[in-house]
Amino acid sequence: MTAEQPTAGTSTMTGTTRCHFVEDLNGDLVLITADGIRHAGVLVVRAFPLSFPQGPVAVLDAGGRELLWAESVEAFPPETRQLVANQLAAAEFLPRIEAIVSATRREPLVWDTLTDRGRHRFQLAATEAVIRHPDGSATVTDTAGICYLIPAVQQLDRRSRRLIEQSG
Amino acid sequence: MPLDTSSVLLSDQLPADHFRLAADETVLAACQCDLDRQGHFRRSWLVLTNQAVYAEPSATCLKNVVKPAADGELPHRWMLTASLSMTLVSQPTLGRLELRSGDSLLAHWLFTPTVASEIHRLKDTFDGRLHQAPLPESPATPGMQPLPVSGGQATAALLRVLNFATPYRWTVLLGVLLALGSTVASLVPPYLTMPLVDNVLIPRQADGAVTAWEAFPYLAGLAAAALISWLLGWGRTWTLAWVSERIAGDARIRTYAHMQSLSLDFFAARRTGDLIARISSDTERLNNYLSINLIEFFSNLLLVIFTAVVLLAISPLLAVVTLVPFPLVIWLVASVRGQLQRGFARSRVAWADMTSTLADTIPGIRVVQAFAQESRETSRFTLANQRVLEANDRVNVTWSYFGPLVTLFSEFGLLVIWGSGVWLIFNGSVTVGTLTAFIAYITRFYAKVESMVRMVPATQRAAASAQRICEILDCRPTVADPANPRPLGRPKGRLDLHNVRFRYGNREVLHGINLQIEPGEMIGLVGASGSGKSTLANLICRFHDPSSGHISIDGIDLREVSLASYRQHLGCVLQEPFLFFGTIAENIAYGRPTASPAAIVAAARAAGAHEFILRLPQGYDSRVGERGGRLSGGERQRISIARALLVDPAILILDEATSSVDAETEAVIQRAVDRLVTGRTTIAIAHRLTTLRRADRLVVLDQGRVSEIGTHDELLNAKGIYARLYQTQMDDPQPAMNA
Repeated sequence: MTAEQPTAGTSTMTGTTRCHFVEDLNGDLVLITADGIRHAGVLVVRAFPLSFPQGPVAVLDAGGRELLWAESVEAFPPETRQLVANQLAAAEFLPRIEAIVSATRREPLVWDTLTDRGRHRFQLAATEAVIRHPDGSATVTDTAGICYLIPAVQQLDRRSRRLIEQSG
Repeated sequence: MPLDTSSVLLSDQLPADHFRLAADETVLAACQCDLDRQGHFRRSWLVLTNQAVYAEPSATCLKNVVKPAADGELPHRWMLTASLSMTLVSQPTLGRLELRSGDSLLAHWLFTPTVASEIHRLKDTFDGRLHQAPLPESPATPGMQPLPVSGGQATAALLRVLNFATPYRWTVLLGVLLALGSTVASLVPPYLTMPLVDNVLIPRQADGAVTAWEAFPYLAGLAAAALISWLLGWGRTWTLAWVSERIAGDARIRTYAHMQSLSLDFFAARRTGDLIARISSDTERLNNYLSINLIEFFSNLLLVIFTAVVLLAISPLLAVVTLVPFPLVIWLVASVRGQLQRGFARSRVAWADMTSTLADTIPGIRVVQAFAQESRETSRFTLANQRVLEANDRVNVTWSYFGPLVTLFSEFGLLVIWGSGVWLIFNGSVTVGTLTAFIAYITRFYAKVESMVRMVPATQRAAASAQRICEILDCRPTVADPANPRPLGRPKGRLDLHNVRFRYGNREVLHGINLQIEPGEMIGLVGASGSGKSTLANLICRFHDPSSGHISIDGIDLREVSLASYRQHLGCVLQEPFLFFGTIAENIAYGRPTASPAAIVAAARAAGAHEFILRLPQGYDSRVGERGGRLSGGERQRISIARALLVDPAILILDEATSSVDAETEAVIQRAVDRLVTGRTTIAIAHRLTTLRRADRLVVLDQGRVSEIGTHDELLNAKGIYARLYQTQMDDPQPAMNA
């Protein structure tokens, strides 16, 4: 596989209907492409996890090379769709901040938050940590590179909104 | 406020009894996973002893088990056997640690990059790697490591910045004395009006007994007091303005010098515009505050206190009546302080944001214009500007209602005095002169209180700026000089890389590189983009420290010598040569500013830059702009090669030195490079393999590992990655710079 050019033609990458997924004994995803090749330990990722989560997904092999490209999860045959969705759900990590319990006012900026994955305290990345998007949502990045989503800033409670503002 | 993840000796906090270890069992490593089976944030222990691996059930994903673990469930235990293995899978966001027995998966754990370094350490210990290399661990994740700051308040930051006044304490004292003198002098006139009214004006009106001459001493006194007050005030303002200019200047220098010492990750995490704003406009704001507001505040405070004393001395009763609205003012100040502080902090952030927009687009103006996005950039700037206005508007609303409110209070105070004064005069307890003096004093008093109140927003504004300055001062370089650096003379240039690993967060970029480079040897680093070539070069430059393992020069660990003593023997030629604003000669001599013109010319000659420089109108004195101005890419590159030649480095890093120029220029540069590498330990990175033909050995990196080492011929015969890469480039005469 290493001999493949990274930007090979897209013809093999649209064959979502002619390939299928199976799970191996360890629960890892295996892709069997139309030509019958088994790719173990493949990774399904969204191309635009934040701005267009319903949009295109790609299947990468264990070495990170693209095997398959689909315009959406729906492009996969129904029987593999669930496997793909499961894998996406397992690999996807985008905690949604539901409330900010406390925040330090100066660097290091540490937020104590309630997320959909439980309570979590983290240190914000130095600058540009809070990015507001035109649709009213915002993303927050911490020093470890984890991204958090605030789906609608205006729907947070007053106190949380104020704490966001003071962090820029 | 350090996060608990930064603790180094996690195993010290391990609740050992919970795991019911055997008597002869010792803990080798312990770490905490931060996610449970459902991917929710929850910490749980993972422990490696000399006999077994233990894990708390809440975080352990067992095959085919989905139900949440019950609380109080005993930890899982897997005895160490030969077939037990651990693997790390790094996914884009989460990491996964897997425990296998032979081929079958026993369990796995999910974790975020926050705890990645501990998990990696546990796995390394499991693999027995750390036993061979018991080396000091450097901060594992590159990133900001700001120290927790004492105080934690903006006002505390302001006080800290005032420490910069220490060298000027005598001048400050002089200024304070002058302020004291001028304040006292300004209090004299109302005091003189009292006898003027009572002893001259009223007797004159009553029976005409006194002559106009008797008023003369008082009038002369008034004039003298005014003159003295003016003179002292002038001295005070000048002295304190001089000092505050120095304080702000020192703060600026200290911040800038400190910033220069910070590691690359500091700059990677911040926007240029924000940093510029902190050093330029925040220090200037501080200067304005110190020179204008603080002086004013101080003399006003003196005046208010003295006035209160004088008022009490003249007539305690009237004084008490007068001061009634004063507590109200204090309360008002206290109530809006926090609001103002937040407001000004927001406004500074918005301002820095706007500066960042500028710092983004001005260097990128060619791209902006080439894609005809001028109007979009203007609207982006308008948006940033709008945010500044909004932030300022919000805080202006607060402090603008505040000044007039104090005026209202003072009017009210005046009314109280007139009322009670009239009553007291009718009563006979005070004279008309006393009342006149009182009115004069109280007008001043409230005028000063008013301007003191205006000081509150000014202080909060300065405090916000001081805080932004202190934030930089509190950042510590992640790549730091050792406490007692070992001396390093001119190195022979032997480099040893021992099991070097490097991580960005969860992503391990280098997985244990071992490499010995002999003095004077030229190593060509080959590999696809993202294989870790540049990271390795950065580690050799010590822009970062390895996450584990070590690099040594002539047998001395890089972390044991001072950065400056090491880097002075280092020369770098980068893909995108950076030329500073100045002449070509200055740019060539950048690493050795004392170099003679002859040495500069010799370096330029060797770099193949001499002739084109001479063809420029001002020769070596031609000025080059911020981004190299009128020079072509190849010309700029040759200047940067001359720059590296001039410092005569023992170790040379060539990071894609020729990849941005055409084939013909490349040949010229290649000749220059060939002269440059002679007799130096060289690490050259190149996509175009032909540029590495002089290399003694080629090191092929593949996904962060050394996959092949050897000469060109050896590697061609081995028919591995290198042979394939080479063949691809031979087939395609103008190879695409892949990815």
